[in-house]
Amino acid sequence: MTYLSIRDLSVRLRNGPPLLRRVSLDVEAGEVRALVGESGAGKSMIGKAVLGILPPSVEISGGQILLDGTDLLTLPPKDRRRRIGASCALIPQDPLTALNPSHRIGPQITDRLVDILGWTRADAEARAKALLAEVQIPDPDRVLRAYPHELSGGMRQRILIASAFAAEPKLIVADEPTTALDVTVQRQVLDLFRDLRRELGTALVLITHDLGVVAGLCDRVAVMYAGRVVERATTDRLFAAPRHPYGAGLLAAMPRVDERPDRPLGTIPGAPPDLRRPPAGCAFRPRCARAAADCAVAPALVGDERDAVACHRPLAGPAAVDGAPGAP
Amino acid sequence: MSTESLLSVRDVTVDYATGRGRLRAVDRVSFELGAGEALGLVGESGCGKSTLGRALLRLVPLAGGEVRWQGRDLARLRRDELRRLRADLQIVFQDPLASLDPRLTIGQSVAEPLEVHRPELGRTAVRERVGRMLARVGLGPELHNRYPHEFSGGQCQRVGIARAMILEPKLVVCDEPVSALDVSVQGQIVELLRELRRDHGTALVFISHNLAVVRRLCERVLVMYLGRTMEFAPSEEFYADPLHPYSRLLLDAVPVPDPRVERARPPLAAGEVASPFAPPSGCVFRTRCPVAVEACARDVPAFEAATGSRRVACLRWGDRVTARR
Ligand SMILES: Nc1ncnc2c1ncn2[C@@H]1O[C@H](COP(=O)(O)OP(=O)(O)OP(=O)(O)O)[C@@H](O)[C@H]1O
Ligand code: SF4
Ligand SMILES: [Mg+2]
Repeated sequence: MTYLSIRDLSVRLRNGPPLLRRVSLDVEAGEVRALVGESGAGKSMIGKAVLGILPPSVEISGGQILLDGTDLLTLPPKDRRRRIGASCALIPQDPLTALNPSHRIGPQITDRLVDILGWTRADAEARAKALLAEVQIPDPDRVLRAYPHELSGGMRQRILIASAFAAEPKLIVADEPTTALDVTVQRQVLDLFRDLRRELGTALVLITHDLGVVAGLCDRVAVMYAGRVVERATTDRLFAAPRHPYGAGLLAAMPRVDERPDRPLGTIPGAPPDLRRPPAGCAFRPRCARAAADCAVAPALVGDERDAVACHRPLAGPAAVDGAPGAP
Repeated sequence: MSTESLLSVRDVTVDYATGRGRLRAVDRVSFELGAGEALGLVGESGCGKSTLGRALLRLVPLAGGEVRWQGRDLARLRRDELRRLRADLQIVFQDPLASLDPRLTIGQSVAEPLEVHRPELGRTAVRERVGRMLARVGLGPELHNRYPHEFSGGQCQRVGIARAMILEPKLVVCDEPVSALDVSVQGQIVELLRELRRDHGTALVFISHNLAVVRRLCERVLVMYLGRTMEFAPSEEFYADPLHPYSRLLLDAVPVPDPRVERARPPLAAGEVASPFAPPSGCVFRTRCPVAVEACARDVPAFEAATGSRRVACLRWGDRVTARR
């Protein structure tokens, strides 16, 4: 069952250039969906649009965001906020700035439960304590009374995760939740997502630039480039046979810790475009080894939710996956 | 000391005075680096990588130990020798934009070290070298008169590297040079560093928390934890068979872009870094170590020779070897 359906969503700077162009993607109930791409691709913008927290400098210029069948964009602001608050939560990138430094941890988890969801304070506190234990925070009682600066970065991020899961939302948007963390803490967070998802069946939109993070956790992936979805795929298909030259390039450019460095790293020349001056036609064209004359016209995203690509000259698709032996 | 050793680090110790008292950021670190070699310095945030990198260049004072450069103690160099050294030893920082002078064009930025250290070169010679170096890092002549703020992070990092390489130094310390960059651009910079090393024989101290990048770039790896060295090993031996329990933990944590590998992973008990103000007694890693025994709380493991040229600071590394046979 589709829980979130984003249809042709366009977002632009007020009176300025577009930041997202007709983005479409679905998230099934309980699914972990990755949004991958480099800085400026518009990943966070999608998350913010869904949660209704776009900065005032940008506006939605078209499309629909259907949450459980209801288009959030047609609801009056108050109803929209209530709906989102009741069923969605955010895990932000920076655990340091996301917690208020002058408040103790406890209320920062429980206030939302009490104020927005109408829980009693005692219930909220019991829930917070149970969740901290769940995310392996030793001595939850002490931590609930602590201030953020008394805790390590890894603990703070786990607290934010616990806090996002607290009200058992149907959908969590996690925006680069492990980017600021050491690999050891990152691994703990990934393990934690895996457990919580299995236990609670929450749908998760994981925004990241790190394909390594995607591999173990996500069911499907949307690859973004310059404000568009350029490829949609199941995780297995993307890693086995990426079809968009950008997705393929990203995979080839990822060094692997479990691989001898004999193979030269693939490189993508150039840098992601400045969204204020996007190249005409396919935005990836200036960096693309396969580009030809027809790429001067922007390609449409063609395919379905499991398998789609926006490219005039995509690489061999899923047919190659079936026949391909598992690469070592 | 071996004759080939370019850099020899002995018991280097660095303290910071902080509001909470003395903090020992680097604690008796020792290693050697040969000419043209690349050393990866890895470990979790706060373990002292940057501080050690700075200590190598005398950018922070030592509380103990010594750094020898081609056999000479850095602390005892004469002024003219120190000047030479500044040309031979360069550093590249994580934040490429912040480390460039915003008032200089990139051509001027890259020319500056030549003007300081090679005053005998004429303007034409300088311009020619700068042009060649910038071309080498992928920046064409049309960009020479631009200013840093007009550049992307990856481009600024190329300028930083060009500036560090222009004097053909013997050693470049790179402190997280690719961490702030997009994946595609990170790959470009790693390949660039690989080529520059190959062509100029520059030695590299590469500070990074990205173990996959270190494997691509470095022949040796030094693992630090709470200011101390845990393991020092040739890369391929290290990645194939880490000896220290902390090395194993770090390697097990790195995500691999391969769904089959990732889905098959068991959960990892990673634990928390202890406070650097109250490091654990005995082995500093013991509070997180899955194979710690009672002795680990009492005895400080020596950083001792293990197999071949490897060194490891663990009371039990030998047991591990035996247990696996
Ligand atoms: N200028 C300073 N004054 C006081 N303490 C410092 C200073 N710089 C670093 N420290 C402390 O010294 C220790 C080592 O820090 P250092 O920056 O060398 O670590 P690092 O390994 O480079 O970490 P990262 O991976 O986060 O860059 C840390 O505990 C840090 O908080
Ligand atoms: S000395 Fe003991 S605690 Fe330290 S790493 Fe070895 S086994 Fe673990
Ligand atoms: Mg550092």
